[in-house]
Amino acid sequence: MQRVDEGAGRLSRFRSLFAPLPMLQRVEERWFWFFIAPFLVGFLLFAFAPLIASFALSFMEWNLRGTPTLVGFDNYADLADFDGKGKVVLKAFSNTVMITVVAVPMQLIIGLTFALLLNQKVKGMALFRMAFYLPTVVAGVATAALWRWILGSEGLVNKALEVIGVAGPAWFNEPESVRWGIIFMLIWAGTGGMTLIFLAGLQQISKDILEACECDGAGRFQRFFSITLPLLSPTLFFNLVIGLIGGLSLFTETYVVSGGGGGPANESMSVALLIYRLLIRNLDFGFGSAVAWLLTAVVVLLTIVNFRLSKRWVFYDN
Amino acid sequence: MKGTSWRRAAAAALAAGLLVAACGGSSESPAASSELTTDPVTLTIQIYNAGGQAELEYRQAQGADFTALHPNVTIKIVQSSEYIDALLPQVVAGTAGDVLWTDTDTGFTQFAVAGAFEPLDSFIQADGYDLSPYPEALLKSFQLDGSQMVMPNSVLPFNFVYYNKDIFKAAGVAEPTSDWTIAEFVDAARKTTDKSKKRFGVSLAWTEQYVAWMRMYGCELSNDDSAATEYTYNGAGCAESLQTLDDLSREAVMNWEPGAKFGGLSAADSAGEQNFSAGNVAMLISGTWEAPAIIANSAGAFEWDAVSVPVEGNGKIQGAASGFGVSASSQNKAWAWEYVKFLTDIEGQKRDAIAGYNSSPISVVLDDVYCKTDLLPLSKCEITKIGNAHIALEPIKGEWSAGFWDVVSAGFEEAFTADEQYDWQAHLDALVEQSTTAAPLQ
Amino acid sequence: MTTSRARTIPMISPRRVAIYAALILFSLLFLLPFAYQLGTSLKTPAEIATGTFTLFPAELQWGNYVEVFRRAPIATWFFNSAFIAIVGTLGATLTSAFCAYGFAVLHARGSRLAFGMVLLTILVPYQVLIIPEYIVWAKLGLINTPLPILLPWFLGGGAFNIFLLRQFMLGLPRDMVDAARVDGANELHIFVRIILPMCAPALAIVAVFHFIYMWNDFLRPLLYLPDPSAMTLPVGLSGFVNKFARQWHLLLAGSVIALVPLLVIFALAQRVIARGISIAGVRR
Repeated sequence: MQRVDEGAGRLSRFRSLFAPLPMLQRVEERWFWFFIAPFLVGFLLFAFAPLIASFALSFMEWNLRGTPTLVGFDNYADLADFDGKGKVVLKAFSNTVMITVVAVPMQLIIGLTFALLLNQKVKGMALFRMAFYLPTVVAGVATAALWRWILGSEGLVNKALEVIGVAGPAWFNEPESVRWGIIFMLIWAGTGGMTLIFLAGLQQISKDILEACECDGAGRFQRFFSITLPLLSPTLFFNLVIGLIGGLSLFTETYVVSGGGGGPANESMSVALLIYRLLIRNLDFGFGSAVAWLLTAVVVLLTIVNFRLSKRWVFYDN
Repeated sequence: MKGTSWRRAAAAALAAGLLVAACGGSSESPAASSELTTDPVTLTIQIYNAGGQAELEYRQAQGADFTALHPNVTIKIVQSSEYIDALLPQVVAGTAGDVLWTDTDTGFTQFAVAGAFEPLDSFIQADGYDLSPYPEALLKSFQLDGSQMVMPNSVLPFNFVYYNKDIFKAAGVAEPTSDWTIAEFVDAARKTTDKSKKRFGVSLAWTEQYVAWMRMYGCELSNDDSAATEYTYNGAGCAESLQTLDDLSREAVMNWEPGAKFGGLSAADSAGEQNFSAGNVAMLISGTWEAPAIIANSAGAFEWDAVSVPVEGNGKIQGAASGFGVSASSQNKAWAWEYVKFLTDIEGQKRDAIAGYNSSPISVVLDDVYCKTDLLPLSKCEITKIGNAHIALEPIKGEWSAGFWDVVSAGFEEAFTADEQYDWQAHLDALVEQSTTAAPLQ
Repeated sequence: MTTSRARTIPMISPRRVAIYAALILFSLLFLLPFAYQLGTSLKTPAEIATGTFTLFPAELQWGNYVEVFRRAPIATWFFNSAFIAIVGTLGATLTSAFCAYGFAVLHARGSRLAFGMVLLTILVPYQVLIIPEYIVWAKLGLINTPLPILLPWFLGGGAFNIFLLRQFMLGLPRDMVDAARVDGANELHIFVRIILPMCAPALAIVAVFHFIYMWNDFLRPLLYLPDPSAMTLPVGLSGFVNKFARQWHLLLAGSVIALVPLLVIFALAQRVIARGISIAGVRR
């Protein structure tokens, strides 16, 4: 995406930002801003002001009554106070990270596997695809009831475990198992979306390239790893980024499972749930905003790292 | 792109923050006249969806009755199921309507602290409104910093112990009466438990009922004293009550969620009425509203009745109170007050009691209406009287901290689900310290 | 040398059997929750309450569906949900494709920064944005209108969608674009005539995702459409389960009804996604 020679030093690159552009580039630039315009308007109207306001609030103390009082870095200091207010923040982060680190790779692997499975020429494929996408779609208002049925003390999963002689825990009611229950929910509900995206990516890969390789006698596995996977890398990258962001922003599942409480014993407290509770239940807008910005910082950093690393392994057909 | 724009950014941030604050705080009261205008007025009444469509229609009919008395006033009812989530943004934006329902369990604290309600003291004084029928404790639970925020309309004591007569008979335990002791209660629970049949002696319908359990032993959770600097939930009776509860939970006598690890949660993951109706629990501790569901769901499979939770010494009974208040963002506060009175005075409570929408804090209503209806074949009247007589409700203590509650609930859950049983006294001491740090009293 | 075995798997082979077995197994697994919802919606309240672990009851209570319509303005909620989802999805799909084109195909200084803002929108927890956003709409007096819910999707179409389409467009071959430019076509023309058709499968995916998201969205309609006549399905259905009357059978019947359009949309979208193969395949 950069027109500037990669070999140029930073300073000359910086300077070149202000150098007059050749005509074609200027025209292209204007088109760019034209196409981006709707997003910019939306961003300014709906995101910018609230973002600024919430950032400002993180340096204040406010419970919706009267005017906020400036407290400087107190809220941020509280984040690190692991015996006091910071204890639950630490717990929330550790829960969220653990769940993300386990669930997202599973979603990716399973999603890709399913997409490969669904990319075959088999009769009735449309029906199969619908079935595979059902989990993502099915929940809605009935989520809580549904998951109690799947992961209750004598729910579907435990009954299945019984068959192989394992006694399953009371998933959502025992502190040790509640996070695993949530991971299960995430894999179940999130894989469908990834599958679909992988599928679209797979179908985009030109038949010509694949057939050419079959001519040359390459085996199926070799074909997969040296041709398909690299061509699929933009899609994989997208799913990875979105998966990680989604994992770190985990809210709905924890809310449904704990009734909004984050229990038992804060074991199902995700960072987003904590923010929600701080803002809406405790009316602690100052501290809540600080936690929100901490989460944002973490996610931003992670995404930047992702994008930087992507240069090494993502292959765009340019 | 340095110095000046940093300052500009900071100024913008401050401005934005103040903008939110200014728009957010309670709007200046519009001509707060105590004059009742004769111009056409529409009052919006916000209620919580507790009774579904039936309740909506009932409240609408109630509004129509008011309009019959005051033709220039139209009543519009808005029903929300996620009450706090839906209303809080409205409160902040100043568009919350004219009359708000509230409940000590469902957001009164947050709404009061957020400035959702218009203090009623001036209205009460101007009208010379008689508050004597309302019990002191009830009025207090709806005050903030001494100001009356809400008029109570109903109180629900959670002291109903529904018991399965068949199970008691089979276990050879005498049926309970409302004057029984805690020891008898605990004993009965143990005797009617049958682990092999996955049958429990007693159910606590929801986890936070440990508060009710603690109160039964006379433990006080918070205090009235606005000068206090320490939380009081490790006073007399507290450790003992929690120790007993923990024992029962680990013995799988008590059917509730924290007991899941020890076999103390039903197969259906239900600690509520459903499990009682299915005949798996000898006693269910809950409130009066369970009865119709039990009748419907048990469908005559066993005989049952109810008594009050044992009341001994300083023991108190947990309950929730609900009521209506005038919204601070109302444009017609005088009329809103009239409607609040309409809903919560003796006549209003009688109507709600007959329709089945409340228990009542006013003894006159209790005796005249409640105890005279025979909607249910239970000694509901007696139990309610006991409940009302010993009820304890949370007073708001200054900036009541939900933060304190977060520490307590997490700490309790941790202890109840720990592999090894905790020493509750030591644990309570530690929690008090922790909550005082995390949520300092002011 | 190339046999036509390249695309067709021989009729009976271990591979084909394995594929079919896997497909059927997983499909059944994924159908279970739907079967559960359907089955429970056909039980009586007593059967649900006492929690018997059977998928379908002995007697199917189709009457529950009649009762749902009687008890609540389901048709109204359905219509409201449909209106919002359709309009919102149209807006989001087209607008996000429009913006994604800029990010994927066009070069400009500051494009990195702009894309960073797109990502920032996804990264910030939305709990933080809810209340200020609500205040703005309330001050504008637009509560109880669909505008607060719909307008954001016409202004950018959603950062997630932009991101997805951008990634997709980045994977498309550039030579057609360059050729068209040489021929003198302007960017708008390229966007509409060349890129958009090539994106058909991705657009279908965006549309499906977005429709489902809007159809199931609870929070925004809760805040902005509280009036009973303006309510959407999820908000309306949540009223069936409350403190005094836990009417699970009605809630589940309602959610099965709410599910049907999603299945239809998905089936329709399948055709477009499948069609996308032939378009992408016929190149060069």
